[in-house]
Amino acid sequence: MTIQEVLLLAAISILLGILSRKIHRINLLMAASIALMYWLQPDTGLRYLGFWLPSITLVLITLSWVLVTSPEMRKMGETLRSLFLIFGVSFLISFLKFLDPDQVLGFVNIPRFVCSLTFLIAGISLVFLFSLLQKGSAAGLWVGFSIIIMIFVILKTPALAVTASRVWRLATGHSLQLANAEELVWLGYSYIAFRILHTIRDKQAGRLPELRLNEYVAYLVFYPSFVAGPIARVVQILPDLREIRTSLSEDLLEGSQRIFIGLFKKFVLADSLALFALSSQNVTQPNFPLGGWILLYAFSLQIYFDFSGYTDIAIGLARYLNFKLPENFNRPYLKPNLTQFWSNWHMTLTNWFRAYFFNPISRYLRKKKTPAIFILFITQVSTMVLVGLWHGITINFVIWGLWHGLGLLFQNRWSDWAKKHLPPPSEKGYQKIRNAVGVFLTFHYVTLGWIWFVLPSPETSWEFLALLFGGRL
Amino acid sequence: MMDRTKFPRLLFKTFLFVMIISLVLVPLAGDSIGKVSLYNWLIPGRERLPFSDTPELAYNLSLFNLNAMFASHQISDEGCQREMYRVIILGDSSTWGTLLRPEETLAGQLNQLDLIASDGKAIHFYNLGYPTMSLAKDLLLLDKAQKFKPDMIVWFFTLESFPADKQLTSPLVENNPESVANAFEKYDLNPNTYGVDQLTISYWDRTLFKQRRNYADILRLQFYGVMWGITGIDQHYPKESKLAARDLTNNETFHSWQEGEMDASNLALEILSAGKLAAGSAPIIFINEPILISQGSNSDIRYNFYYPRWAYDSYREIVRQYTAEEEMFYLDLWNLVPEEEFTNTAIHTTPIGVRLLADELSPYVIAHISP
Repeated sequence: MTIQEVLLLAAISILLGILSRKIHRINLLMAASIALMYWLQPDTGLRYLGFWLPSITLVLITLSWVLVTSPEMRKMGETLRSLFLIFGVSFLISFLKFLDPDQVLGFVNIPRFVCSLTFLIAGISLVFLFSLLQKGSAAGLWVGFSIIIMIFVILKTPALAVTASRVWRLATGHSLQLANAEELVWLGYSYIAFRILHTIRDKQAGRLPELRLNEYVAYLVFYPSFVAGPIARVVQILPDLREIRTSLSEDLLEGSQRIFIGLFKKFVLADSLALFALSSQNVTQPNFPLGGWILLYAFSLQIYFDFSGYTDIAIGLARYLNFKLPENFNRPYLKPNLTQFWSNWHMTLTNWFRAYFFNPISRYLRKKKTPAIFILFITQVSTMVLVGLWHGITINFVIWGLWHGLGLLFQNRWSDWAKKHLPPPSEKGYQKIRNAVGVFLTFHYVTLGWIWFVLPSPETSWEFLALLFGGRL
Repeated sequence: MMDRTKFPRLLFKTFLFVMIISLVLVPLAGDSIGKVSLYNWLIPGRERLPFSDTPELAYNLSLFNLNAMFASHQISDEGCQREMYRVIILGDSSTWGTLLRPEETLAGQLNQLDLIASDGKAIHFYNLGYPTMSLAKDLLLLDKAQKFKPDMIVWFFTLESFPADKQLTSPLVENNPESVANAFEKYDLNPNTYGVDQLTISYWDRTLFKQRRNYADILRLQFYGVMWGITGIDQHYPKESKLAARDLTNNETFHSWQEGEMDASNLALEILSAGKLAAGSAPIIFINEPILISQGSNSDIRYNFYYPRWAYDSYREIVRQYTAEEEMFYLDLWNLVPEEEFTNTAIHTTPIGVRLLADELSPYVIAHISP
C-alpha cells in the first residue's frame, strides 16, 4: 500500500466509524470491506483477473459460511438479503466500467457487464442452493478445508502458480510464453485462508459461535486486516462487530496515534532501510564482510518495521471503526531466547499454528506414548517448516523453517540443561548480563535466518553466509 | 473515558506544529540542510557528483541541492586537503563518466598515474563533471567548488554546451536560480542575456510543501551512500548498450542555424571568461573535448549525431580565437580519440579512450600547477 492509500483508508474509516455508530453497522462494514477488497486488489496484468480473484474470494467465503453454520442459522430471508448485498456490491462495482472508464477511482480489470450480471445471479443461486442442500456434514467441512489448502498450495508453489497462470492465459487468449508465478497476485488470500481454516477447525471442535452470513463475511474480509493481518479469531472480532464499546473521540485519538506510529515505521524507517537492505539484487555486491553484515542487519530491521508498521496501521484503522484487533508484535528483537521471540513475533500467526497444528499434533503423539524428545523434535520442526511454507513453497523457506525449528529445539534443551547445571541468577547484575547475552544471541540467530527468507536459492544463501565470515562469493 | 475536548486540542496543536515547521523553519533553513551529511564521516565520499535515473540499481540519484551534492563528494573530505595539489575537472557526462566505473573516469585514471608536481607534491584530481551540457551549469559548479580552494581547474566542453538557449536547460541550473543569479552577478555576466533574471523563487517555493522532494532526496542520498560504501557502485551498467550512430542523416542544420549563421555572438563564450575570473589565481586549462569522427554514411556532411561539419569547424575556430584574445590556456583535443573508442554517444569514450586523454593532459597539468 502507498501512503496515499493508507491516508485514504484512514479517511474512509473515520467516516465509516461515525456512520456505523448510527446505521446498520455490520452490513455497512461488510459492504465497505467488500468494495475495498476489490479496490486493493492489484492489477495482475491478466485480463479481468483483478476482478475475478476478489469475486472468487466472495464465493469461497459464502460457501464456507454454509459449511460452518447449522441449518437453523440459515434463515431464508435473512440469508438472501445478505447474499444480495454481498454479490450486489460486486455487481455495482462492475458499473464503474461505464461510470469510470479511465479507472480514476482505482478499480481495475472490470469485465463485461453481462459477465458480472451472470456472476451476480450464479453466485447468489449457488450459495443459496448449497445452503438448502448442506445439512452440516463432517465430510463437507473436510472438503472445504482441502479446497482452501489446495488453492493455497497452488498460489505458493512457483511451478503450480505458473501452470495456473498458463490456464488463465489460455482461457483469456493471452500469450502462454509470458506466464509467470508473480502475476497471480491474489491479495489477502493467505489471511482469508487462515481465517476460513480457523472457522472450519473450530466448527469441527464445536467451539465456533453461531454466526449470521453478514457477520461471517464482515469478519473474513474486514479491510483493516485484510492485506497483512493480524489474524484475529472470530471470538476476538464478534463482540466489537455487534456492539459499540468506546467513544468516538477515544477511538479517533488512539487510532490516529497508532496509524501515525505505523506510517513512521513503514514509510520512514522500513522504506529507508529497504534502500540498503539485503536482496537478491545486491547479495553478490558487498566488497567486504562488514558490508554483508550491514545489508543483513538492515533487512532484519526493515522486515520488522515494515510488518509491524502495517500491523499498527491495521490496528489504528480498526480502532476508527471501534474494533480492538489483537497485537502482532511485542518488541521481538529484545527477547532473550527464541521461544520468547516467537511468542512476540507475528503473534497471531504463531498462535494460529499453536492452536491448530502444534497442540493437536503434540496431543496425538502423547497419546501414542512417543518419547518426549521426539514429540518436541517433530512438533517444533514441523510447525516451523509449515510457518516457512506459508510464506512460499520453496526450498529456502523450508530451510528457514528448519533453522527456527532446530533453534527452538536446541534452546529448549539448553534451558533444561542450564536449569539443572547452572546456578540460578540470584543477583540482579548477573541476571541482566545473562539477559543481554540472550538478546544478542537470539537477535543474531533470527537475523542469520533471514538469509534463507530473503534470498531466492540455497546456493546464494550459503555463499552469502560464507561472505559474512570472510569467505568469498 | 477520555476527555472529549482532548482530541480537537491535539489536532489543533499538531496542525500548528506542522505549519510552523513547514512555513517558518524550513524556509529559514534554506539550502543549508544539505550540508548535513553522513559522507566523508560514516561513509566514504563519492568520487563524482550524485546523478542517476535508476537509483535502485545505481545506488545513486539525481538531486539539485548543491550543498548536499558537494557534501557527498570526496572533495569535502577535510582530512586530505592540504598535503597535495587539488585539481578539479569540470565537464559534461563524458567527464562525469557515463558507463565508466569511478576508477575508469578521467579523474580516476589521472589519479592512478600518481602525478607529482615539480616541487614534489602529489596531485589529486576531483571529478566535478555533471551529465548535462551547459556552460552555465559548469560555472555554477566551479563557483560552488571555490570554497575548496582548488589549485587548478581543468574545464572540458564541447559545442553543444555553448548555444545561448542551452544555458538554462540543465535541471541543475533550473533548480538553483539564486545560486546561478549570484554567480552571474559575481562574475560580471549580464543576467538578461540567458534569461537568468527570469528564474525566480517565491516564498512558497521555500516551504516544506514545495521542498519535500528536495528533503527526501537528501535523505535518500545518505541511505544510498551506505550501498556506495559497501559496493563501490554509483552507476547502473547495462549489460549491453547501443553504440552511437556511425551512419548519419544528411541534415546540415545545427540548433536551427544554417551554414554560415554561427558566429561568436551565438555562443556563450563570456561564460568561459567568467570561469577564468572565478578561478582567481588558480590556473585553468580549457579543453575542447574529443568527439566521435564518424566514417559512416553522410560523414562528409556531419561528424556525428550532434554536429554538422560546418558548425563544428566554425565553433573550433571561434573558440580558438576567443581563448587567444582572452589569453586563456586552451587545448583542442577534438580528434584525439579514435572512432572505435566511443561508446553510446559521440562524446562518451571507453576506458582506453579516457586513458589517451589522461596521457595527453597530464604533462600540461604538471607544467601549469603552481608550486
